[in-house]
Parts: sequence; C-alpha cells; structure tokens
Amino acid sequence: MTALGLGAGVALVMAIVGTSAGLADAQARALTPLSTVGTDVLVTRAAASDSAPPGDTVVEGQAGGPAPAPNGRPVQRVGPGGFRNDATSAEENQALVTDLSKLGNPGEKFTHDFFVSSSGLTFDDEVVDRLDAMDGVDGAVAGLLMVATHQTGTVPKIVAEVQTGGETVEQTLRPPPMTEDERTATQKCLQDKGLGAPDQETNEQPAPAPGSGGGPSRAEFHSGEFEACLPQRFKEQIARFTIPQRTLQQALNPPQTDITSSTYTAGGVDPSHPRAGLVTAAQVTKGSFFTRTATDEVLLAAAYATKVKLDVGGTLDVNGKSFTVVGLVEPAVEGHAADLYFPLKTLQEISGREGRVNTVLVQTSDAARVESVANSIREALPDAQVVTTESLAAQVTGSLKDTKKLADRFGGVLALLVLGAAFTFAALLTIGSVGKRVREIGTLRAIGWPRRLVMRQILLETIGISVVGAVLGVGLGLAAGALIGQASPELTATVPIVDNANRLLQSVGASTASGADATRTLRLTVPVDARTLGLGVGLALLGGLMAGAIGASRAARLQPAVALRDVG
Amino acid sequence: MTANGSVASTAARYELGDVTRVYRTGAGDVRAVDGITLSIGAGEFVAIEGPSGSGKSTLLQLLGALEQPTGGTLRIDGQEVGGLDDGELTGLRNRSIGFVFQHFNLIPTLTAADNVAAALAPMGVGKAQRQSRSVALLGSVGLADRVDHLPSRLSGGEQQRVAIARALANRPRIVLADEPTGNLDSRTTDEVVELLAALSDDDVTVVLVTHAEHVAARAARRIVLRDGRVVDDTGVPDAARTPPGDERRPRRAGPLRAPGR
Repeated sequence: MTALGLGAGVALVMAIVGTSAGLADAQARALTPLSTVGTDVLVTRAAASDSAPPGDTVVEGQAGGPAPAPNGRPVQRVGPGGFRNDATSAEENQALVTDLSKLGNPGEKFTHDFFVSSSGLTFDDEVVDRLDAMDGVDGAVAGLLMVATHQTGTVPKIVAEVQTGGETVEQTLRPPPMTEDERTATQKCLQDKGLGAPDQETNEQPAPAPGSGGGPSRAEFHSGEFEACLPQRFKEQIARFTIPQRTLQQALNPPQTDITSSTYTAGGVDPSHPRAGLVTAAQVTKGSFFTRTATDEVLLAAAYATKVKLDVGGTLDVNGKSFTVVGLVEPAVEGHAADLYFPLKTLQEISGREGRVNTVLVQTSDAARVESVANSIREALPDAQVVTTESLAAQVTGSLKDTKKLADRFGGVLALLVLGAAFTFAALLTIGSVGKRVREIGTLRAIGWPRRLVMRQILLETIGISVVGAVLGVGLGLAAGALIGQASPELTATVPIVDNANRLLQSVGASTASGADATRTLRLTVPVDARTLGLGVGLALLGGLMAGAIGASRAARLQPAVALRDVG
Repeated sequence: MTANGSVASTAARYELGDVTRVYRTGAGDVRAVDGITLSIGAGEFVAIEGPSGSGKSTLLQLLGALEQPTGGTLRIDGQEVGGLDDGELTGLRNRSIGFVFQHFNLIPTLTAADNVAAALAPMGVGKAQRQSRSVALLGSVGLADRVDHLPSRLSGGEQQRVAIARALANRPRIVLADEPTGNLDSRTTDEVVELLAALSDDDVTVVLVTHAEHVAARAARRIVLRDGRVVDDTGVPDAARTPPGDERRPRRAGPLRAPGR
C-alpha cells in the first residue's frame, strides 16, 4: 500500500519531468535546425508601410522611378533604406496582377505559378556580399522566400470594347466682309469674264425684268464663274478643333472562370552552401541535398510532401520547367521555412526575380558578437529587419509555447505538490503501520530489542517498501510516458513574420496557406532518460527514507509496556 | 552467615521493598502499586491474582523491567532496577526475562521459527545458530512440525507455545506470563500451564497473572492484590522471607470489586 502510493507519486513526478523534458525537446527541435547551422542573424526587408522599424526612413510611395519591366529590375538606384534597387510593395506584387490573357488564347487551359515575396521585399543580392564583408560576420548566405499561387484553369475571354466617334460637331462661321482690295479684284475678275460691273449687277439684281432679252443675259450667268472670282478665303473654310484629351479609367471585375488556385511557399537555397541557408544538408531526412550545380532539383518539406503525395524521385512542373524531388527536409519553424526549396538561381528565374533575394542568413564569428553585428547591420541597412535567432525563439507562439510555459510555470510546482503528497502519503502510511504495529513493536522491545534495532528494522522495512515503490513508480512512469508518447499530442509553434504576401493574397481573394510557412506542428514525445529514471528511483528512496525515519522515531518512542496492554 | 553472591542470586530473584508505582493522570495521582514488599526465589511458580484494577498488571510490568518503580527498591537478581536507563533495562529484559502474553504477540509476518529467532536477534547470535536453536525450542514445546507456519495458520494453543518457546530463547532465569491462558480453551490451557510449571522445575522463576482459579491453583504460591497492596500471599516457601500472612482464605476473583478503580 505504502509502496503503491509512493510508486504512484514517483510515476507522476517522472511523467511530469518527462513531459517537461519533452517540451523543452520539442522547442529545441522547433528551433534547432536554425541554430545548429549557425545562423545567428536574419536580415529581411520589411514591407515599408507596415513594419518598418521606428525611426526608419521609409521610401514608401516614392517609387517615382520607371515601372519595372515584367521581368526586370528598375534602373539602378540606392534607396535611403540602404538597399540598392529596392522594390516597392507595388512592384513586388506586380506578378499578381499579371494579365491573364498573356497566358494563352481565351478558352485554352493554363497552369501557372505566380510568385510573391513572402518575407518582406526583395533586394539586390549585392547586399549579401556587403554583409559578408562586415566585421564580425563569418558568412552570409542568400535566401529567397516566395509565396506561390498555383493556378490552373481556362484562359478567360476578356473583351474590352471602346467605341469612339459618332459625335456631331456644329459650328457657325461668319467670315469678315470683303475688303476694298478684294472687292476690286473680284469686280475686275467679273468684268474680265464679261459679266458686268459688279456694282450694276448688284443694283440691277433686286429688280430683274422678267423675260427681258437685251444686253448680257443674266441667264448666262454661271455661278461657277462667279465663285471663281471670290477671294480664296471664301472658297475654303478651315476649322481646327482640338478635343480635350481624356484618360478613361475603369476597374474591371476579375473575370469569372474555372480557375482554381492553391498556394505554397517556395524557398531559394544556394546549392553551393549546403551548411547554411534556408534549409541545409543537415535537415535532409530522406534523399539528398542539392548537387552543387543543381537547376532542376527540388527539396520538399516532409509535411508538404505527404500532403501532395510526392516522394523522393517524383517530379513536379512549375511554369513549364520540370523538377525532380531529390530529398525531403524537416524545416525549421522560424517563419522562414518553405514547402518547396529550389536552387536559388532557379527560383529567381521562375519567379522573375533574377539577382534578387529577400533573406540573408548571417553567421557571426563569435556568439557573443551577435547583438553588435545585428546592430551594425541595422545601421548599414536602416530599412532592413534584423532579427537574431535568439529573439526569434522568444517570439515563438502556439500551443507548444503555451504548454511549455505551462510546464515551466506549473510543472515544477505540480511536481513538487505531487512529490509532497506522495511523501506525506508514504509517511502517513508508515506512521499508520507503526501505529498498527504498536503491540508488535512493544513486544520486540519487551523481549529485549533495543531502540536502535527497532528503528533499524522499521527503516529497513520502509526502504524495502520504497524500493518496491520505486520499481512500481518507474514502471508506471515509463508506462505513462509511453502513453503520452503514443497519444503524441500535437503542438504548434508559430513565429510571427512580416507577411505582406499573405495579406496581399487575401486581398486578391486567393486562399493562403495561412501561416503554413510560420507554423509547424510537432509531436510531443516524453523521453525517459537515465536522469529521469534516476530521479524517480532517488525520489522513491528519499521518500522511503523520510517516511521510515518518521516511523522509526515514533516506534522508538513507544514504551515496551504497551506489549502488555489489553487491546485488540 | 551471609554468603552474598550465591545466596542472593539463587535464593531471591526478586526483592521488593515498599515498591510503589504512581501514575500521574489528569484526575490526580493513581497509586497502582502502593507499597509492596516481597521476595520471590529461584524456581518459584507464582500466581498473582486480584480483581481488575488491583495492580496486577502494573506489578508484572515492574517485575518485567518494563516500568520502573516511583518509590521503594526493586532488585532483580540483586540488581537495583530503579536507576537503570532504557538501554540497561532492555539488556536486562533480553538476558534475564522471558515474556508470555495473553494475545501471544507473535509477529504475523514471520514464521514460528523466525518469531522465536527474533528474541535472539539482539544477542548477536549468528543466523544459522538462531535458526537451529529456534527449531530445537519449538521441538521442546511440541511444535517440531509447525516450524515454518505463519502464526495465522496456528491454533491459539500452538501460538502460545510458540510464544513460550520465544520467551525461553535466551535461557532466561525468569518467565513472566500475563493471562497466558486468557484466550485459550480448557484443554490447551492445561498444556500451557503444564509447560510453565515444567519451567519452574528447571529453576526458572515463573510468575503469571491470571483470573482463572484452576490456573492459579496450579501455582505453588499465590499472591492476591487489592488496591495495589498484597492482601494474601500463600504457599511461600520457607526459605523466602515473608511477611506474616493470614491463613489461606477463599478470596477469589469474581464478585469482589475494588472500590474506586
């Protein structure tokens, strides 16, 4: 009974300690891939409008420069944020407003992947070299993280009919009267043609005698001849109109078609840096890492591979290019994880971002210098978001964090409570058993057992019981650990990221793999190591010893005369 | 002539001089033993009788060195008990005195042999020796075939015989029995009483407290207590110094009750 109580207590303590260790383990696992590869500082460029660090000069809205060519980079310039060729949000998101009609003729089936920078804005990869050259930096590796929208469907028919013309323009012109010169010239012309003086003619005209036949007949008057004598400006009127220029703007609703879209995240990894980057060779769980010159290889996050039912050796097409899955990886949870990993150059090509990156993973030469390096990067690149891995760990949220916090905060207290209860239980039972054995102990004292011997006996018995309790407790603890492990509760870990891409996608109506890039689900395991085992056994023995000591001291105080007491 | 050593040790196991034992209670002092003077010699078989509350049990505790007197002198084998500390009393009990209890008081988790051996544990006797001596003792009380039985599998008479074997384990000069037949039927009572009587024949002083007339009748000497005092002491051997007692009176336990407690 005592053994059972002690055992249960020990088992509980072991389970709690084990779970606690498991949580620490899970947290470590969530962040380890990042820390083990020695990435100390992450440099991204914040979406200027929302998340620029305070005091930053923001170039928002000043992108007066030339619009980027579809594939292109703006003309060289260094922004006040310290980045050369810094693209604005609008430029970054150009890909999303790509004209669907460019995908093919209306009615044709199409498959296309649109890429949006997921981790802040992209910047020229020359930054990588600048960071690499900085004091205290051991190495800087480029990364490109994109959120891709994979769309398939029929190219929609987009007919924009703009009708122009059809307006009637009316204008009344009053030519100024003839000048003297014009009149003279006209008269002369008429006379030359034998049509009489224009004066007479003019006078006679109002009252022509009907049927009179003398003189030059008016009937012979040819209007053509008359008109030929008119001054030039009466012959031809030129009216010049300028219709004010108007630019018509009309927002067109996206055409309703059968387009379906899904999103995934893509990471660009430099194959020549297998030990550092968004994903490293160390994180490969199946298959292998990129070959150094890889272009058509892709690595899949294990979870994503399961989701899309792809395995090592499988192929997938992105924008007309075929890729072979060469390995599965277990990405870090740090918000810079992706579903698919392409060789950096390839991702830059298929996403139309040659020479551009949006993440730089910096390793410092000395762990103690992480903060100072981070500060000098902030100085050099005021527009950059500089995050140290350490601070990232602090930002982890989700059930993992909550449970860990719970375990940290209450686990110890709980373990102590349980332990205290178990000890009290054991002590009470021991005292109870001493109480029940008053006659027995009294008898031993009466027949000549010294106190010492009685105490030793009780102590040995209790220790014996506690050994049984320890064995029971360890057994139960292992069982409980195994049970928790079997149930393997899911824990999520989420790292907040500057995620303008997701927000943008949502505004466009595309469903996002909401935070899939930042949240990772982990399974809780309850590792029972030698230390936990030792703890369990030690606790049981300690509890037994304490209970035994209490019981023994009580037994020693018993008067031997109780042996003669006429009870029970 | 006073041949101190040998005479004292053989002739007087117990020498009590005006022994008192006072218990302090909330209701005032209770004189459980109130001035008893007597001596008991080697090989005597003594029955102590008296109604409940007469002081029998307290006297037995004093004789067994389980308690110390609050007044007077109590010598066991010539040694004054009054000044001994717990360890010395324990040693005295272990060496010189064997106990037999009304409820047998065997350790329920130990076999008959281990129960007997338990008395040998403080003596520094080797395990094998303890075992063989236990078996021999059990044989002497007629339980050779019950050596490995747990108390729960023995009858009351058998359990009490195991207890007697345990009491004899250290070859004591004194065996004290508190109502040893109180929980036994008449047949086994006789067996147990005969065993105890046989001990006194071997020069062991046997003192038993009993209510049972036929048990007391078996004793050579009968001491009757009332209110902590000796009111009758018959069958005192001539050798022992005794106070002038009355002739034997038929005063038995039963309707008589001591006033007060």
